[in-house]
Amino acid sequence: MTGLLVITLLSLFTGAVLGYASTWFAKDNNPLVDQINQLLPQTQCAQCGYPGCRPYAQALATGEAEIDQCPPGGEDGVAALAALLDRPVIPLNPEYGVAKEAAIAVIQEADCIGCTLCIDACPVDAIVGAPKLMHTVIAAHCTGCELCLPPCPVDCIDLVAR
Amino acid sequence: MKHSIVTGAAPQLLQGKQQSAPSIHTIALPPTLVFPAPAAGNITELLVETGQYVAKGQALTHSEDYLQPPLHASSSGTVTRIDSDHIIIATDGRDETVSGALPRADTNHRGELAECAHRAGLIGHGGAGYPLAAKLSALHPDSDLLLINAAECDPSIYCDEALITDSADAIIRAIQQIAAYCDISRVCVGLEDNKPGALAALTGALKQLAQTSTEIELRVVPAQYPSGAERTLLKQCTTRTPGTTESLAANGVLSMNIATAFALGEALATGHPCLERITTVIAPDGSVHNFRLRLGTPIRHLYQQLDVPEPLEEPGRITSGGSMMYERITGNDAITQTSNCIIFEKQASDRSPARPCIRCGACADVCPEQLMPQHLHTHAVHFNQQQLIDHRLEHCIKCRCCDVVCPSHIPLASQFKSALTRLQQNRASEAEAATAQARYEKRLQRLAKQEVRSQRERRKQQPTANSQSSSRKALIEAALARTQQKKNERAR
Repeated sequence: MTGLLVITLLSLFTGAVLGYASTWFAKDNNPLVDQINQLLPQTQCAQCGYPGCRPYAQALATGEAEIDQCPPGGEDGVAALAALLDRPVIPLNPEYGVAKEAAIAVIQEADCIGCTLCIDACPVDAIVGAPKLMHTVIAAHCTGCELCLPPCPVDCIDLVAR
Repeated sequence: MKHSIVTGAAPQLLQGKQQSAPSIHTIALPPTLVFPAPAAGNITELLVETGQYVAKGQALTHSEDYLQPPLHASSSGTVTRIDSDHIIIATDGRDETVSGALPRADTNHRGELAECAHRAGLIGHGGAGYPLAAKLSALHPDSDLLLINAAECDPSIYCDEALITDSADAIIRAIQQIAAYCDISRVCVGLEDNKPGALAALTGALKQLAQTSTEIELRVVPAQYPSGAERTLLKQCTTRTPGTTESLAANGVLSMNIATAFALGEALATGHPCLERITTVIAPDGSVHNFRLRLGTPIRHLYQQLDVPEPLEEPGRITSGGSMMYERITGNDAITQTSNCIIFEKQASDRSPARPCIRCGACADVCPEQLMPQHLHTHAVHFNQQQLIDHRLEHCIKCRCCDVVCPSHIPLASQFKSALTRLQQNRASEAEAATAQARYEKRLQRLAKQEVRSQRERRKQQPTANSQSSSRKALIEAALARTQQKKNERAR
């Protein structure tokens, strides 16, 4: 009878520990995505057709995207992805844009009407401002993704070379 | 295993100076002064515009960042041109000083000292030119040693020796002040043994000192390039041997060139920014001069003063920074705080063409930082980033000892310099990518949270919204009925 009790308690205890460990010390579900994400330039520009670098990394990991879709990464980026994913090196696909010089967005503060549309568009929260007040770009955090250009109703955002 | 304190330097590097420092002369005020314009993308703000009058000591640029110290006009005149590279001032010869000095640092605190160094626009005068304010503000709180570097090991440079002979008292006062501000009780001044005049001047100045809490030790080290390298000097002057991966600052050592200490002392005493320095100039005939030069003095003005004919304009004949750690400059460049030595060569020097590395290891024997330049060379050629980091590329001081001894004439130091630039660029862009990634992920989390909250609110408001919409419907119907009634009345 004691033996039965001990075994039951022991199995309950180990079961609880294992259950706890599996939820709290869970391994990253897909380390490949992280590895790919590390190679991407993190501009979050969505030129690849995915809403950011991590979604593109996920698509690359599942094999649904090609490695030639990231213009900011340039040819070096394609080469690095090719090496990691063991795929042949291919040139950048011009459909997704061409590699450009690194740039940052600058708001012409005199023309800004304070509509906050660019603030919503910025993927890295690098634009500060409030409704009907002037906005400005935090230069240190701007990735030059150009996503703030189309929503601006008065075209007051310029891209300047870094 | 190495036995000597200094790594076995090659015989050709042991040769010290042949003469003592020539005395300091002042040259005529140059007609123009040239200052480097702040680089694009820099947060430094330009304070002057073309055509504006500037007084001596007036700030040309402003920045709150200690890594970008401000520039000051070294004489009065008019700003004639500002382009992407230079700010050019035509001097008027009156040398009018700007009214109002820098705010004095009152309390003995190292933060105040750093602020004073920044306002005075000070950078290291030894050659590397690290902003002094950044160095002082990053100092370890428990620092207990001030190492004053007066070794001046380069065989062509005499400016520090001349400065010590000329103003030993002021230097000792400056050192005492700096030690007091930084709350450091022990000071070591390292000097090479081939400067008897400077040693005598410093000893004399120390004797006159009243007993203070600060203990200033003079240490004479053997004349052997590169004894002026911080780590080498520290090892020779004290018993400390900082680990190869640690910085001196992390070891509690504040290391400073003696001319920098003097300039900081002057800034503290007078409240004026740093406007001049002593520079060694070696004319094409080999004669050595020490000049007190305004910062911004064009190199062309220098050789006109020396009566050197114009053909110096051909490239590769003017170098800045001594005979070992130099860079090539042109007549259009100007004196900066790092210009310790300007050499006009008789003819453009041409290096023997580089041959492949034979792995003789001669470079590893002379490296004062105990690096392995032969391996670094291979990895720098192929830019193997991880290997370069593992072989401690960042500890290379670019002393060019390896260049001198290389039997294959490989320009090792310049290869390491460009590899290091590329490495630092890669590091910077990696850091930027990491911040962008973190901010992107934070934003996604925030958007998700907002979405959940707005859904919850919508659900809460649903019943009231319904009643509202029904009441609105009733209102509209009432309004419609009224208009209908009015229409009917009009029709009657």
